[in-house]
Amino acid sequence: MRLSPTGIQFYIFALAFAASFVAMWTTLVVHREYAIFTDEETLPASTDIFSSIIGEDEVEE
Amino acid sequence: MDPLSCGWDAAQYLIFSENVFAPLIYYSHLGPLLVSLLIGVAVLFNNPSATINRTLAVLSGAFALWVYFDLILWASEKQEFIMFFWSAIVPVELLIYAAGWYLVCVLANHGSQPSNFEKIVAAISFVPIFLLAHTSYNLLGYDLTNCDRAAIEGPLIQYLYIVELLFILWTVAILVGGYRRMQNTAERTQLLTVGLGVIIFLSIFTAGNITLIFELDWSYEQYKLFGMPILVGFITYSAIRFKTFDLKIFTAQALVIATSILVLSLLFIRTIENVRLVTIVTFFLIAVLGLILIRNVRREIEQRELIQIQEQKLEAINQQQESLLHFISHEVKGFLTEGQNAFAGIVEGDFGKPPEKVRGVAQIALGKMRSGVSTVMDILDASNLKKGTMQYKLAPFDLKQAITTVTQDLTIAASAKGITIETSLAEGDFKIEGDEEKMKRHVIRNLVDNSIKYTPQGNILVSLTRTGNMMRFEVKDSGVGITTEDMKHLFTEGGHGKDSIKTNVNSTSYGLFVAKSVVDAHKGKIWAESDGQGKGSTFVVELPAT
Repeated sequence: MRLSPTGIQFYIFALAFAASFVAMWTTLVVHREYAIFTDEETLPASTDIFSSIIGEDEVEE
Repeated sequence: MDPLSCGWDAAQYLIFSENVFAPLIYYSHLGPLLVSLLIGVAVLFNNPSATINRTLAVLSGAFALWVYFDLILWASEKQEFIMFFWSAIVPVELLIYAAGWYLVCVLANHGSQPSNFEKIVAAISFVPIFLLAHTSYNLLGYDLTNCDRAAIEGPLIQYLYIVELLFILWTVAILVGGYRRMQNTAERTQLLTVGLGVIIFLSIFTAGNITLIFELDWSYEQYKLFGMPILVGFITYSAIRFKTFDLKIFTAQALVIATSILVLSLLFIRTIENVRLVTIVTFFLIAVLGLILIRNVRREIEQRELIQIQEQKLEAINQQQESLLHFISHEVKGFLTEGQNAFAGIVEGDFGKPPEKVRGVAQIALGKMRSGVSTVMDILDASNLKKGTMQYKLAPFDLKQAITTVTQDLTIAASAKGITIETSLAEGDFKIEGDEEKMKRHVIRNLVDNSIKYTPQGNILVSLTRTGNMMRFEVKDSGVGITTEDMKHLFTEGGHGKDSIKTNVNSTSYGLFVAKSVVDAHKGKIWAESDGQGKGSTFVVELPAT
């Protein structure tokens, strides 16, 4: 079956999409290559926004 | 902080757990998730080859995936899953915007796709996300200073929000441009309906993201998913009003299921305050969808009733016309036969020897009368065939003898036009079981007579051969030939060829239709071959031997 130019474009896009998912799965789930912040002093700024969004009182301790 | 001290619940199927901060999440997520899946499957199965349907399916699928990933983020207790799905939701979210933009482009382009340049620009916006989604540019890391189960977002998220805004602006520009360019009111309204639905849907989504940044109130995040029912509403209206996505009949069924799903979602609400809010939203949705559904079904029923009444009227008129045609044909045939007998009497000298001049005129008149009778008989036979009252008297007869008789009868008419009829009848047994009279008059005479009429000058070759149990009768002429266009209608009722009618203005256009019906009744085959206009034609009849 011959693919149309649009079909080829679609499959290239889908392949790139899948490749990025595989990269994420391999890095984050298989190898767990991500930073873990345990000290509030060293936390990057963006986490403050999220904490205030969630609200400390909502968290089930 | 020790993760174990947070007391997280293990999530079932990744999404069901006590870890979610508000039960409303299940309502806001599960309803749109199932509805978007349903819409995606419906449009894809209804017309899988249409670009617009495929695009809506991608949009619905991407949205369903986003909702599912988001639910996992609320419910899951595993660090690595939270990091993965938090990262993976980024390209999926951009895909929703791109699919929405693409959908409006297709509608604005009358069903065609965006240009390659536009596609490349859209695809380029994905490149940083594809390349960096698994890196710390997307998520800086996991926050274990508290029990929020949160990732820390990096600069790629800001890039995502900017690109999303640009996609919305681009979609608005395409909607406005397409609307101004379109002349047809229905097409404009269709584009406006779906376009507005997409823009509102994407804007609510983006509003949720912006609210998260500026208002710092997480509960607003829940309402951004209510954009999906709004999009469904606009799409449903467009599907019913303009038959977009070819969804008309399916939509009614899909809406019932969608509404049931939304009502069932109430089961997931666990606090009174939430029930009140959710009931108001659900009531509004059911009222709108129900109204559309009722109107649609009522219109369908009215149209069906109207069609039935018109069908009955048409049937009655058709029968009256058939009866009238039958009556007139019978009467005319009677008059023509009497005239034919009178002229035959003059020509044959039954009333005394006529002067030569009178005999000549009577001879011409006799020919005309015979043509008239033949024409009326064709019409009568076609009428009988349609009514199913054509009767065949089956008996064994010699096909070769029948062809010889008819050919000899028509030799005079051919000679008068300066045409020679040659015969090539093979030796052997050509007995078949059939109606000799109908075969002679409607098939053999018809085909040879047609060849004479459609051959201004030249020869006609009538041949008969037998291969095994099959007899093959051919009439080949060097006449006007048959165009490809005329060939399509050749054996149909009233199948006048546009070009053949110029040569034979008296054609009833029933001859070949009746000939085919007679050959079919004898379990045979009839077809025509021609290399085109001016290149002659060959009519072939194959009949099984007794």
